[in-house]
Amino acid sequence: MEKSDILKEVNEIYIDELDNDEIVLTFETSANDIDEWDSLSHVMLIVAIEKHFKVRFNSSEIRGWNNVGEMCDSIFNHIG
Amino acid sequence: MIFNSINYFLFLPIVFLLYYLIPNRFRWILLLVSSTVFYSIGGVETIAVPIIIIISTFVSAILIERNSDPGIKKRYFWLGLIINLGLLVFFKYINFFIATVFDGFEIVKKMSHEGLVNTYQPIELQLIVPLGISYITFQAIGYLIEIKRGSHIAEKNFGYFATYLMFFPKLLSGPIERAHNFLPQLQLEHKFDYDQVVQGLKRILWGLFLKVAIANRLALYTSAVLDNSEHHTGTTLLIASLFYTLQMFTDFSGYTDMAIGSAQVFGYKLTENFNAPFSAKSIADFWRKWHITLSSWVNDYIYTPIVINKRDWGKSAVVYAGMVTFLILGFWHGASWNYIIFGFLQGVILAIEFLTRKSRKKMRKHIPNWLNSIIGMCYTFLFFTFSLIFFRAYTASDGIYIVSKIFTDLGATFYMGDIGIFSYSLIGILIVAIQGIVSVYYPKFKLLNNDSRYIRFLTILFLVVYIISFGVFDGGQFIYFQF
Amino acid sequence: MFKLFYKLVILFLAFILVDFLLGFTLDSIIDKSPDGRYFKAQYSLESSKEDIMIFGASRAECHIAPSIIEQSLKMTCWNAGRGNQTLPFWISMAEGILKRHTPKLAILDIEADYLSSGLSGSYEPSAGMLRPFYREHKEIRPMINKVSVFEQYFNYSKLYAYNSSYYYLLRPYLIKGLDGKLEDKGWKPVTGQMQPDNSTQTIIDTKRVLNKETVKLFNELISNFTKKGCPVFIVISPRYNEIIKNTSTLDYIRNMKNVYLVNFDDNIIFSKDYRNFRDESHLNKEAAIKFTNVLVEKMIRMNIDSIVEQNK
Repeated sequence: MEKSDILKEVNEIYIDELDNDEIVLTFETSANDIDEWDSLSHVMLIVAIEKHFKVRFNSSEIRGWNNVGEMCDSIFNHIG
Repeated sequence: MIFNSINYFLFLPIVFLLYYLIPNRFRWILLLVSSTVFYSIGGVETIAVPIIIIISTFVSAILIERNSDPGIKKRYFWLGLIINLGLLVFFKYINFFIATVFDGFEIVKKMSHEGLVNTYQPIELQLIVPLGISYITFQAIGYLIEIKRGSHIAEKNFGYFATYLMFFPKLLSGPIERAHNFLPQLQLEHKFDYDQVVQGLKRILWGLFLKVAIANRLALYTSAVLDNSEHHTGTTLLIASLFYTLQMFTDFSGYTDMAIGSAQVFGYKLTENFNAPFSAKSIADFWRKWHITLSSWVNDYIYTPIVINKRDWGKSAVVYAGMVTFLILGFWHGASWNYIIFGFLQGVILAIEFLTRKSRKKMRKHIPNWLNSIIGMCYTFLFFTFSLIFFRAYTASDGIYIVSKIFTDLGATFYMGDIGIFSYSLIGILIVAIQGIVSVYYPKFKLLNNDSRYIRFLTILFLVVYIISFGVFDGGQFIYFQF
Repeated sequence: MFKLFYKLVILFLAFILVDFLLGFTLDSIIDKSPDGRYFKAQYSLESSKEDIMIFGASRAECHIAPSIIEQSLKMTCWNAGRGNQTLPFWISMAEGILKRHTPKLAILDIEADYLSSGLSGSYEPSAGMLRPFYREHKEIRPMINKVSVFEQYFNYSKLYAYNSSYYYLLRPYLIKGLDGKLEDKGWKPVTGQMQPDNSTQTIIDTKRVLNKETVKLFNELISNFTKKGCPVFIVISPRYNEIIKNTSTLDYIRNMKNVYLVNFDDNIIFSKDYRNFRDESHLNKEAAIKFTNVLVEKMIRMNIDSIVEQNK
């Protein structure tokens, strides 16, 4: 799977989880750019992503993400 | 030494002049020495405590970094952590624990020997809580965690590290500064920058205004009422509680302005602690704008690790982690049940907000935006006021008494106290409210940083005149020093 | 750096100018005040010439009516009482008055265990009321300076001296007589009646230890008067449902020279009837008139004329 495909699927998960159809993610998007993405919803997103891609991140990986791009890299590394 | 004391206004200019007179490479030494002096005036009997924290944290960080074996790393990490927590617990919480355990024994005893009333008193240790210990230990612990995670390099210069924890503008009550934000600043060249210094001085003036002319003024009324809750009607207690929220804000954000302003005068940038908190539309939002350095600390080092670890629980993980985090945040403020209740209330409301997110979002769609904002802001302000009643109360039962009086027995009469004091309080609230609204919605009209130099000058003059005319100078301590 | 100093100096000069202009205005607001607390303090300090001067906190101010004393004793009288003030204020007042005028006698209304209470927290209200007079009256400075070592410098600023005073400074211009009418000569009667309650009678019979600092200032106050030949009458006003048997303060006062403790045995006449009181510690206007009459009778029985004569 290409990284851009991962981004598309992640985008769908965000729309679903955060209940906001207008979310358009880029690799540079961070929590500051999306109102609903805060430390409460963050973990719900992770759980949904893990379920969707059937992966399991470790906590230092999760801590390391600064934006959606880095998150997609992690996903890519797990499924690639 | 407190910021709104005359001593500080003699101390700061002296350090300031010396600072820019000596070569740049010695300046951090001056800051370390003057911070030690600052601590010693008022806390010399406990100066050993920060020294132990600095040495142990400094050494364990280097040891964690040097060893590649994760087991040994962990051991040094725990060593540093236990020394920090041990000192914090010993000085701040030991009497609480003794009393709680003792109460527990008493209950057990009473259950087993019905009717036998024991008259033992719990031992109470006469301890002086070291100044700023909650802030120093939290910064030290955060640093150790980052070193253990490998996200920072351990500081090798002991003097730099000591200056990080002792830096006097943030020594007594924050901001809780992260090492990676502060330590690099020590190595910068701090040239005298007129604009920065003037900005810093203005910030100090504004903070002094908030503290002396508003918070201390409000305190006269709130203490008169809330310290004698049994003599006042629910209406009076309600008004005093609303005032207390504003007092708390002006007191603590005033302190923070003076802290950040003082640092700025020396060319240092500290982290902002407040971001128009009363514009928040939910409690979750509020904690991102109120005491930011504390809430982001507990978010990074308590909430997130727990929630990630327990994420398989789904939503329950968020509720659980939020509750644990806010209980700790409440308990951080002090060893007493009323702070725990304060934290517990935040945890409960956060869980409710989190679990009703989607349904509230649907509801909001039917209401115009401006009304949503107003409802959200009022709700947040009122809930926070409600939780602060417990925060302010000396005991949990005192808080419950005030709350029950407000909810069940409002009463028609309202005690205003001295009308002079009350009306100056209202004027103060009005000024702060206007300033808050202007800075959020009409930033162009900022008076202290206006484009016109005359307006800037007149504003400064007005603040000085107002502080001297309406300030309350009884040396009242900042509320957040005790934590 | 030079620019910064330059700006700070400009700011300082501008402040001095504002301070001078506003200070001048504030001074004349007091000078022209029709009545009110600042008017009263200024009158007591600078202009009072009465034969009998009354001192004490709110109970002195509310309970003792000078016009009744004037009629019965044929001497002029001024009630200098001021609520919430204790010894630091009265010492300053006494110094200010005695410097230019010696009354024939002074009346001081105090609590039954006055000398057992500490003075912490009583310098600040005194200074708060008297700072506007700090620069013109050297004699009141020592008590104000006790608040902090910086007072002597801060009081160069009139704005500082008038800190928090504006409400009470301006109020007399809007509503007259709230702090006592002019014709009442410092008397500030209160109206209203408290609710009856079922509280049991309190009997004051204590041996509380005297507070050293309070006793020292009390001696200073009394001797200021007596060494100028002005005897002092000590009055204990009635409180609701309270009987005074004895206290260490009363014992102490009985042993003082040229100090006359006015008999308070019949306080009970007032204290058992709630209709005399506005609240537990203040007689209302009607009762205050009765109380002043009783007080005058007692003073006559104490041979007040010969006491005044002796001390001349």
